[in-house]
Amino acid sequence: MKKLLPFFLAAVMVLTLSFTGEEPTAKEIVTKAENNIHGLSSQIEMTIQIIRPTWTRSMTVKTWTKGEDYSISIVTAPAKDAGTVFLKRVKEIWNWVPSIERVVKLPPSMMAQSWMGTDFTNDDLVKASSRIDDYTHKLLGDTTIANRKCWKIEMTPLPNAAVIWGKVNIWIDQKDYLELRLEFYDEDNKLVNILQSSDIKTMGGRTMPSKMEMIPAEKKGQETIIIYNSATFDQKIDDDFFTTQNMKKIK
Amino acid sequence: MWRSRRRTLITISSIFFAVIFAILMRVMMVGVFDRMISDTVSMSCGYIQIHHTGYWDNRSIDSTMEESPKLTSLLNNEKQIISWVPRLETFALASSGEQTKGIMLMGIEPAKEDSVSKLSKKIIAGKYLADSDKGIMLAEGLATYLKLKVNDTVILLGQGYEGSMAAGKYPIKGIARLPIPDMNKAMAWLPMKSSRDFSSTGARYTSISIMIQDRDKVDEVKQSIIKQEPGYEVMTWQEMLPELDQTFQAKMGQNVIMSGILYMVIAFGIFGTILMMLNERMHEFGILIAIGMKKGILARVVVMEMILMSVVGTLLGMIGAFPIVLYFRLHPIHMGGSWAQVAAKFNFQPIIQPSMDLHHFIIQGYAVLSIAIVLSLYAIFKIHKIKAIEAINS
Amino acid sequence: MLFKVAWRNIWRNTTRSLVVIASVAAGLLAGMFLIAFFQGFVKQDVNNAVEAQLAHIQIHNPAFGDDKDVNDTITNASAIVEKLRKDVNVKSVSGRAITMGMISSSSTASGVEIHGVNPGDEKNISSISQNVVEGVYFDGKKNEIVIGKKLADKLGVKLHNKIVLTFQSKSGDLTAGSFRIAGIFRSRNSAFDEMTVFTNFDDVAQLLGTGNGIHEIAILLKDGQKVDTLAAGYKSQYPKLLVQTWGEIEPEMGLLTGLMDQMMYIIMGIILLALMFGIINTMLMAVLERQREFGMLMAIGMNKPRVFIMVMLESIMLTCVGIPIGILLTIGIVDYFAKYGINMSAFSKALSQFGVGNYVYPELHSSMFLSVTIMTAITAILSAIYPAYKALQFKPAVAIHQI
Repeated sequence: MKKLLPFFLAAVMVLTLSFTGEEPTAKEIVTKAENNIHGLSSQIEMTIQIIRPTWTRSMTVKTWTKGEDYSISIVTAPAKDAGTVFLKRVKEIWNWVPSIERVVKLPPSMMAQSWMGTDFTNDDLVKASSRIDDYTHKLLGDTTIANRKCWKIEMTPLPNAAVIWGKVNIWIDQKDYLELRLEFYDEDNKLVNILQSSDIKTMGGRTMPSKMEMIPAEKKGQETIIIYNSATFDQKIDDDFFTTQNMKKIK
Repeated sequence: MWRSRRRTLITISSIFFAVIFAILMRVMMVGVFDRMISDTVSMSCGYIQIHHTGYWDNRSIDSTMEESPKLTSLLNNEKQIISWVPRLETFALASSGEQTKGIMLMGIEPAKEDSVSKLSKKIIAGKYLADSDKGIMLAEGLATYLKLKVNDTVILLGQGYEGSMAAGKYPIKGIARLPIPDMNKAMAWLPMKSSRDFSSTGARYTSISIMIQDRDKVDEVKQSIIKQEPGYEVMTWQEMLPELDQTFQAKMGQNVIMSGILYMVIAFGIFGTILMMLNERMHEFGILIAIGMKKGILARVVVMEMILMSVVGTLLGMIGAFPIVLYFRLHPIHMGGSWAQVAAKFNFQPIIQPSMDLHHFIIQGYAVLSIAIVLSLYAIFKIHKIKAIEAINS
Repeated sequence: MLFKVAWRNIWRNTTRSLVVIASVAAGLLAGMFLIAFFQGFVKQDVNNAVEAQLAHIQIHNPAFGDDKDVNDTITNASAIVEKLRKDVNVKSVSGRAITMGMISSSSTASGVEIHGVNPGDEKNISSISQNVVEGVYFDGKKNEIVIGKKLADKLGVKLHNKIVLTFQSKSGDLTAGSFRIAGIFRSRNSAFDEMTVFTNFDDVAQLLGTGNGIHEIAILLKDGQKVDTLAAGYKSQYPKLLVQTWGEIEPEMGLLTGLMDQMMYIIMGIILLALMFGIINTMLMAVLERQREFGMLMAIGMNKPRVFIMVMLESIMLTCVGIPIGILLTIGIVDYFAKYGINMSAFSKALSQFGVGNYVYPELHSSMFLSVTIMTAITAILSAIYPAYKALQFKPAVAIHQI
């Protein structure tokens, strides 16, 4: 009996620990949420709506991604823009426009330009910085968004990180580790951009928000909405699917 | 005064020449400035530019103005306006496959544009655009950077109206050389129809640039346009090119100093004449005073004489300057030497041409007249110092 | 004999003589000052541009050209820089790392040319360091950046705000780094202000991966006039590199100044003409006054040629007296202004925004001295011909009876 006691105590300890479920750190939460999004590979069909005070435009886009570094997108509607392809390899972006039959590489100075007229920039696509490595994370507490319990985390960029924001607040859903809301602040603590995700559905076997809105805080009546129509995940795609030669072939 | 015709003539002529020189100098300088401004402005923004409100600060293809027959007829009827051009400007990426560069793409109406900026004269290779051309014109520096020649193809990518994508490929029809290096490295032109297709704008412009007759009337014309067709943003060249204005001001400062120098020389000349005249008439004055004329009255009479002569001299001078200025206006001075070669390379006209603004004639005449009058007051001083007996014996 | 007579004649009527002397002196002063002013003005214009960005001479790798590829550094640049530092003709030298990239703030981004410099060296070469309107020109901290006011306004940033610079590194990858605004400058060229940003050499080199690689060597000479000869010297010293004078880099600079140069001749001409007529008139008046004297001279037997020569001699002597006076005056006045400068902003509101570069320092070169003096002298003497001629017209009998 005496010999069994240490085992028994150890077993009790292990069980208690797993029951109390030690609260993860802010950094761990963000890491898990980020890795959630950047799965192995994906194929997504989406509708992009650009809303401005005086006009609105809609596009449908088919995108294939592999990890963080490779993605290729083709515009399928409206007719005028259909067939335009964007290719991203690590930090470079290429453009193929069928009407001119040329592949053009975007120089760094074009990174500032908005992507396809949306409120996202080419730079956003390339994502020069990492939400995991370039920030310190502080857990602020729990809140609720759309009936889901979330952690609210304050992310402050590291002093030498190439990040323009003063701070970024992120709301991560506690059940599925979905990034439901991001608020981007400049150095003077002014809110500049809001990235909001909603309409959570199951797509391609995963739970994910199907609607994403990028809202510039200062510009009234202006935002970009991305609606995911369908998605498949973790299918096998070859690396050479993401090449400039393939840009001309995909449909 | 007419007693000694020679004396009078000499005095009048000294004023006459002084006025002519003062006018000549001022008119030449102003003429050069006018040229400087007009050459720069005609290539870029014009003396006045009209846009959709908010365009100047935020150059987006969405901030365009519609074609408006009302505005068109207003511009055609305004007297001061000698020409105007509509333009569709947008930022785009130009690529030759190897090289890609951000450029300023201008949609123009070729014939109209030529009358304002003389673009066709700046062509160094190929041909100028025609309205229905499918081709494009590039600035020399841009063509060199992209390593393209006439008949090669260039790709343009950009953002069009209301978020649409703008893309096109164009054969290069001509290459132009612009005098301003920054512009020479980054400009391209398309006929209006092509550029509207590229940007999907329909019948719109980003700006209308206006050239006017008299540089001084810029603000007047601006106000007149605003009053008749409100709702647009109307800007003068000083507002659009504040640095040109600054350079100009600096040169004006230079002008002031040089005029000052000229006036000084003129003053000496006039003073000399007056002095000599007084000296010569000492005898006469002496006698007049001896027979009882009061010095005060004599002084006044003499000064009146001098003022009269000055006025005559000034008027004659203003009239006399006219044919001279006209001659130089029609036959401007051509400059030679190495400077002229550099200028020709950039299509900068190496000539000096005076301004015909009569305003200057009057102002200069006035200035010389004032100098003469002030100097003639010296006579009062001199006359009061006269000792009659000495004077008679001089 | 005629000389003595002429000399005495001059002093018999002091007023008249003084006026002519003064006119000649004034004419000389006017001509000299004009040229000195012009020279000073042009030099100022040139200096403004040269000192702000161009420097007198720039050296690049010939492949660097317009696309400014980050890989096209100058071989052995540090050695060349050190050698130039010791060169007696060189006032200061600075090695710069240059690349094109993008600057972003939280609201906007803009394409810029990034200059990585050594602040100590750069301060001696570029007047930008004196044109800092807010903050300082580098404080010695890491990742500082100095940008133009126009750019700061465009980006919506203030002093001490953070910005991100994005550019292509040596290996072709996209690199980015965040920098803090240490200072905001304002030059006379707002396009420059909008397009150019300055960072510390080491900070940029680190991100670029170019180590000590220098793309541009800028040289400020002690004597700007020698720029062409010295540049030729350097060209032969470094045949594989592209050595250019500021005139070769920006030929358009010369355009406007050249125009003013040409104008100067015309203005000079007008002033000399004015001088000439002024003297003619004065002398004519004098001759008129001396009718009796001339009539008498001719009556007692002085023949016409001699009268003519006498009058001419008088003029020449007067000129000879006037010129030295004029020269002294000119030296005095030009020297004074050369030291204190003429404040151009008094004449123009727009200029008073800029503290530096508003003063014009007139300067005169000895070659100009000589030519102006000769021109004035010739003008004065030519002016005397007509009045002297007129003096001969008097009929002695009529003249004597003139009152």
